[in-house]
Amino acid sequence: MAAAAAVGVGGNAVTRVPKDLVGLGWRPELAAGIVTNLDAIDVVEVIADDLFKAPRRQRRALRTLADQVPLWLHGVGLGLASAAPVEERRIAALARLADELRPAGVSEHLAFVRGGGVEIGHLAAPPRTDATISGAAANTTRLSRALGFAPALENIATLVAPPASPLSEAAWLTAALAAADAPFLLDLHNLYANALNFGGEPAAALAVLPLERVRVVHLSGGHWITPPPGSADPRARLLDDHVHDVPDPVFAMLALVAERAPPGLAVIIERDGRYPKFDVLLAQIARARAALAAGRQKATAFPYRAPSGLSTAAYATPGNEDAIALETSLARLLTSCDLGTSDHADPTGLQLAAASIAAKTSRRQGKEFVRSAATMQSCKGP
Amino acid sequence: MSVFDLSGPDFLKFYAAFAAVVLILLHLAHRRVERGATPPLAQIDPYQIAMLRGGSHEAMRLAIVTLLDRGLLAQTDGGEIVANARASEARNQLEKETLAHFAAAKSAASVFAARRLTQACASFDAKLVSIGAFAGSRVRADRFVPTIVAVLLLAGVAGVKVVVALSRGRTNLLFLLLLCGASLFLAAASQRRKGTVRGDRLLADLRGLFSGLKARRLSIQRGNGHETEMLAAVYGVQMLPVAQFPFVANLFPQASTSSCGSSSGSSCGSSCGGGGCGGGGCGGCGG
Repeated sequence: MAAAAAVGVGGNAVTRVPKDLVGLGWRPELAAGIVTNLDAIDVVEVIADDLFKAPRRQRRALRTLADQVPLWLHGVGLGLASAAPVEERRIAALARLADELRPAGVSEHLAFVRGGGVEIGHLAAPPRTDATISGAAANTTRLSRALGFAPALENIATLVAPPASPLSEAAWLTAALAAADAPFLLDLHNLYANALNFGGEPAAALAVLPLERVRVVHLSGGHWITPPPGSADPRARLLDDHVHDVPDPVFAMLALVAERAPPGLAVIIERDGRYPKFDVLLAQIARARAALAAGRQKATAFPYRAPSGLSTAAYATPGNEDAIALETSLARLLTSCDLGTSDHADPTGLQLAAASIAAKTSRRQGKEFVRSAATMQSCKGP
Repeated sequence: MSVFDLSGPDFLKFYAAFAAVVLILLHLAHRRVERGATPPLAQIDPYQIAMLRGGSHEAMRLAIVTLLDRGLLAQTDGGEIVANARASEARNQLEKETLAHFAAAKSAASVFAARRLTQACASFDAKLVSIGAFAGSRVRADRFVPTIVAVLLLAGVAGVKVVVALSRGRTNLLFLLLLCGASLFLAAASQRRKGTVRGDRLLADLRGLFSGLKARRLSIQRGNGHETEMLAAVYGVQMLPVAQFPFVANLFPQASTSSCGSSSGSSCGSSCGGGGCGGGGCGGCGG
């Protein structure tokens, strides 16, 4: 659906190369600015889970928007990267919504969001194992069949190193995307934050990812958070909070992506709060376009490879109870904040992650969450 | 025995039902000839939206509120409006004429009788016609045949009854003539209606897209630009929160009511199962 640019190839027939698109995530606070500036916005992304219970007229309005500007539907609630199968009703709900809105594409996350009946309320990094790779592939295959096409899968940010993970983030992502045979939604700030938080170098982290699979890119910002005094690891960690401007290094990473990724990317700036004047967001869109253009100029010839279709990965075999039990344990740790007896290898990260989730839950419930040393230790809030 | 042999009251019941059916079919026929894609959202601005929703008076109300919000108009102690800036700061002809109109302090309502402002709204009207949101000559021409058929049916059936009744010495025809007249009036109104199906759908879609903005209207701040204009354009200036826009209550007294029915908080429907995965706002994946 991306607009195409005609490219002459050695005086022969013109090849139409899909054009890169840059846009914004749809939020009620940004709706007026987006509609007023549609001539400067190539693509819009809506959160699927906001729409499942929305009034029909709201969904119909977004269908109208989708007819006029490419619209991506972004799910946050399936938890595809789990050894446990995603409930069929959740997959069906997303497929029904996609059928109604007819978006340019659908995306979800390589994350788990629940375990053993515990809802985490946030995207959590699963253990990076063969079990979660198989689970991601199986769940994505089921979702692909319901949609009629493969969804793009997004890498997530994490404040805590997933336990019992023999694979690196890059190896796990590459294997999961290959097993699912799905396009890649590359969230650059997530990659950036993970690299800084766990001792890596962002450009190096980018270099080993399957950039030929990238179809969508997310850009966002975050801020540094400091563990309370006495924490096992006193280093500050970068929280991907979506309420800050996209930092310079992330734009530089976008240019690197453009050197290798196929044309026709959808680049979406995510902003969930502390909204600046809309001109600031338009300036970031312009900056993203410039980064893409700079990267494309350096791009060497590459084969444009569309995702080949549904995965043939085997379904996760029954009896994968160990992997599911580990996810359950992790879900309980992330939501109970009762970390006193936990022997997690990254207790500081776990504390920070649990506190972040508790803060988010409090905000959703309309309560103020006071981050203090005491509440960082036991993050049930005031 | 035919329907024209029915007695007075019985024939009136028949004619009322017949007229209702004819008018419904006329309405459906008009909708059919007007169907098409919703006009592009990118081609419409807040003033055109206000015009679509409520005509030139709504566009004028929006102009006054927008110019006050931008500081180009000011309100005097007596509640009158006066220009604070030159016409060069206007963004369109309506704003320019509004600033010129308030070169000397006047009441806000004085704009509704100002011919130059009414003329300045003509460009919005033309734009709405060009995108199919308002009925132009082509739409009215497409509507004409169904309308004529409906008029002939309504007038014809009533006319035959009148002739039959008169031939039988019955002259008590007032109610039939009133009913026929009302039906013809409705048929003519449908022909002359300024709005179109596409325009109605555009307005419905705008309300759908901005329902979140309406829900958080109480948090809209002065000087916000896009949000102020779009909220006022799509829902009316009365939607602006009085706490932030106190002049609205004085400008258009009949507009400030509590019928808006919107909550002060945003409704965040995103969820990851029982909880939500949203960032700072509704939806989103931020930490």
